[in-house]
Amino acid sequence: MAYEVLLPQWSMGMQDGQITRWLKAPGDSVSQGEAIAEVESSKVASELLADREGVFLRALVEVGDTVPVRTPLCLIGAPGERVDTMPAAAQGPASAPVAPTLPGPALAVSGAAQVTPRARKLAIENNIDLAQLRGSGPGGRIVEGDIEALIGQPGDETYSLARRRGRIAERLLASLHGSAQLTLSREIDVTDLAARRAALPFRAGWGDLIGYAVSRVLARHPPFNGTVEGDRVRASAIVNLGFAVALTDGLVTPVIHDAGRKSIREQAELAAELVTRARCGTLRPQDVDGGTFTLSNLGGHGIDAFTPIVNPPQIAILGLGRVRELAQRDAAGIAWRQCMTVSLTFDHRVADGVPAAVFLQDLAQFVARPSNFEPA
Amino acid sequence: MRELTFLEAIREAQEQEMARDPRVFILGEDVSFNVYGSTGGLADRFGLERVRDTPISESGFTGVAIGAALVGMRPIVDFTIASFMYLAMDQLVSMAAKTAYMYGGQAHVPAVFRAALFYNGGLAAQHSDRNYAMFMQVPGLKIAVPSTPHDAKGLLKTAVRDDDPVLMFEDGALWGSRGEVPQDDYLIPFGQAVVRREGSDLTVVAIGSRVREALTAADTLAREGISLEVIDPRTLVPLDRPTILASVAKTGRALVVDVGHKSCGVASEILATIAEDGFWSLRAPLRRLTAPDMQIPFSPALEKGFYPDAAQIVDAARRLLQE
Amino acid sequence: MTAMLTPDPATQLEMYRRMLRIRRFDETVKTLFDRGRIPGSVHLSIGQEAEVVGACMALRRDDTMVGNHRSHGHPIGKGAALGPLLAEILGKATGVNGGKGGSMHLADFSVGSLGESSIVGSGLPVAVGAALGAKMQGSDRVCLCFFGDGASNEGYFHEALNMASAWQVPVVFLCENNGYGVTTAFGRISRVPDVAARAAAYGIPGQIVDGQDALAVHAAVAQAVQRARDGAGPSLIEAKTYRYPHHSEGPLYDAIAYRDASELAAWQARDPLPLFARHLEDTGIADTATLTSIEHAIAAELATALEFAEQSPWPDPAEAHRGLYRTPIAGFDHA
Repeated sequence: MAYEVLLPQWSMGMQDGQITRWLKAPGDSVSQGEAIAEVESSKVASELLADREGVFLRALVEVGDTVPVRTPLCLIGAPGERVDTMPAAAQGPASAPVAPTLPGPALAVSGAAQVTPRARKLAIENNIDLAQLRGSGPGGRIVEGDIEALIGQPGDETYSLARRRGRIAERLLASLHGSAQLTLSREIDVTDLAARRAALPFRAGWGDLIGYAVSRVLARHPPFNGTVEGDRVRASAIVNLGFAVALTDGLVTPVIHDAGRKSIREQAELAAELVTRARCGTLRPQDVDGGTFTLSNLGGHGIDAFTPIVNPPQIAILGLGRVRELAQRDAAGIAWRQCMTVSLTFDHRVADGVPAAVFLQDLAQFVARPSNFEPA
Repeated sequence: MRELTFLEAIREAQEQEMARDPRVFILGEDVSFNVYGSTGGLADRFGLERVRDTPISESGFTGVAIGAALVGMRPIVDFTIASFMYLAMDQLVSMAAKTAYMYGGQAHVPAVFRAALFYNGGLAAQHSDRNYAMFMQVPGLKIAVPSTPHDAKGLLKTAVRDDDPVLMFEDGALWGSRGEVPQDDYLIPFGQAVVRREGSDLTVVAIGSRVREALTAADTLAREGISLEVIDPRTLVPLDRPTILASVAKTGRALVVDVGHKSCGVASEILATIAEDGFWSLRAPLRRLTAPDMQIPFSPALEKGFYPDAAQIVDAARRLLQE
Repeated sequence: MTAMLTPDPATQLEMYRRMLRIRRFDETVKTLFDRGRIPGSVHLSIGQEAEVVGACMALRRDDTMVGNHRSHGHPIGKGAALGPLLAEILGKATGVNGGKGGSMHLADFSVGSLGESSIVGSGLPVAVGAALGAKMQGSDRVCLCFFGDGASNEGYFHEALNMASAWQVPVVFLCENNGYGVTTAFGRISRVPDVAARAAAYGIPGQIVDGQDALAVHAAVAQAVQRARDGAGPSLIEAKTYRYPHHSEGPLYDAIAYRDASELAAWQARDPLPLFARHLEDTGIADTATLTSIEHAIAAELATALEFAEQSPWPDPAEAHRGLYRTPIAGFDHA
């Protein structure tokens, strides 16, 4: 009876291999330990050796095919043996299965992938959600090794993304998948604004000031102020300015409604109140609802520029970098100017780069004129 | 240490027990002339009363043994071939197995019943039974299935000294096999399996002569990087479930190899135990290799391949490791 | 019956008492059964008291005895206490078998029983084994085997008698031929009407006795027992008797006309109890007053036994899972 030569697992990590050359042809005699093929796996070349003597009957895979370890590669048998039936076939004495060695898609009746009992137990013990997993076993079956890979080394911290990060992870992914985002950056000169800021009779941060500028300029640049849902774009008449607030365990974006009609002071005070509420966990639904544009400020953390992710269903978001001193050439020679890089990420489906650039230019010009920033 | 054949070891166990305890006696067909090789010299040494030839009355002499046991003797019944046990079924089941329980502990049956498994020798359907599984279903019996001469001697001695009815099945394929057998008196407790070979990829539980087939297969597979753990239960009742389960907890795969027929055989019970109590250890489906559910044919051309051997074990192991 | 073998008056009185015990015991059992108090089935010995007692009282206390499903009379005949027997039939913890055997297995090993097996004929070779064992032990204990006409056609009968005679073991085979195997009359399924005739095939003595005559049975069995004790081997005694009830209790057999009313009446006319009572009076062993007082004493015994059985507790359910083996193996069964 012919026996199959299987692709051995020569090393623990080895998953598969391919025949690069057959050294024997059907009818060739084979002695025990003789090389019958050259095999490559993960860039390492090896030789396939015959387990026992006999006659090479037939190759079962072709040169160049990549197959998983333990796949039968060829048949060795007695001289003249016929191999038109599978070996170990249904003289049926023993109960060895005659079914093909690699089952088809390993789907249980419910349509979910198979999981070995061992893997399932390990997953339950480690709070791993099997539904998120793609198995490495035959037909996509989830096996113990898949779970072990997630559990990692001792000392690693493992946890559930969904549990730790809540919906934020989901929403960010959805944002990037659901729109065609690109980011334009521009340096704006805030030297004079900085002086004006110092003179204000109330506290206002850079986020408050740029936010104020946006609230005055944005309305001139549809459709960056608004939302897009499916095919429906809504270019909003009023500016509901959201701003990102970092919390210890995530991010929230409270909204200053109708910012276009609120003074700097009103916006600054409202923002401070919203931040406090956010940190106490007492924001109400109306505090975070209805935003049409968002501001995200990482300047306080030393970031020069970044690529913020749009807050769906909004169309755009402006990221603020830090204010830094730059030497610039002017008429008198070299002067020190205070500059901030702003980065506008927007949904390119809705608008193109030039209008975005024009908006940023407009913003830069507004910011350059401190008279725009009257208190009151 | 000196070596004995399986049969010689059984003979020695009987001789030592008969010398030790005058209540022990043998009855069966043709035992005084040692036709089957397990009673050589015993009639000469102990006389024809204690090595007692019976008429061909299996049900009758089984009852006689039970009656003698009830009044304090310790008989060893030699059925010769397991195929002849069916005649004695009623006495074994209705009397030997049930007496201790049915009479509320007023009596017990300290009798041993030995039978050889002849198969793979052209003895045809009626003389080739491997029927120990039938008796596993009968509460009240104990069943031994030694795989080596050493174990044959130790298990038989334990059987003789046990106060309950014990069936010992002696695989005929092992009769001529040799192994080290200590000369002295030793007992092998019932319900203790032996791990004949340690391994990590697949647990093979092998019955009787299949143990050495499994060990041969293990050598072959080791060269392919597949590591078999081979377990020899030694007794089917009581069955050492903890050892089997511990092994499967380690390997995650199980294969039972038995020369009995497939349906409701020993493998069914062992695999059911693993499915019940070892399910969460499993990496692969449970499998068994047995004789088919078919009569045993006479011609070697027909009988060949009926009983799982090393080659079949190798093949099954490879497939299991792929699953 | 020879004078040599006639038991003394005290023994004969005891024989009467035991016969009466069996009768009242089985009447009590029948009443309990009819009221639904007894699980399973019961097989009564009413009408067969003489052969049971005559045989049992020909044995020594240390002689052994093997019986069958029609078991109640055997332990009573050999002197067992009534309370534990009745408790067993009711399934109580104080029964001889702890409630695990019931009516068909009423065996008191303390009076020499080796079991009452309900597989017809299965006790025959066991009795041979017990006799063989005794012989091998150098003891002169004899084993008496009770079996019915139905059992005489089981293969066991042939094998047991053959081995008993081949090996010359001290066993007495007593066939309680009550004429029927359930509903089948013996003559319909055996060309030879007498079981005892088969003894010749094994070279052992075969004797027919009147099963309603306790003394006749006693004499025959005593003689056979002595033969066995003397090393002369087994004997077969056939006691022709009759059971007044059906094979087992319940309405089933009432509806089956397997026997003639006149046949039953004829056998009832030879009721062993009045027969023996008359014998006792005729021989001056007992007068009416004595017989009456025996009657009352037995009635009191039964009342006591019944109360004992009724008051006894049920077995602990956990007990169902104990006692499978004499030597349980830790971790493998419920000791």
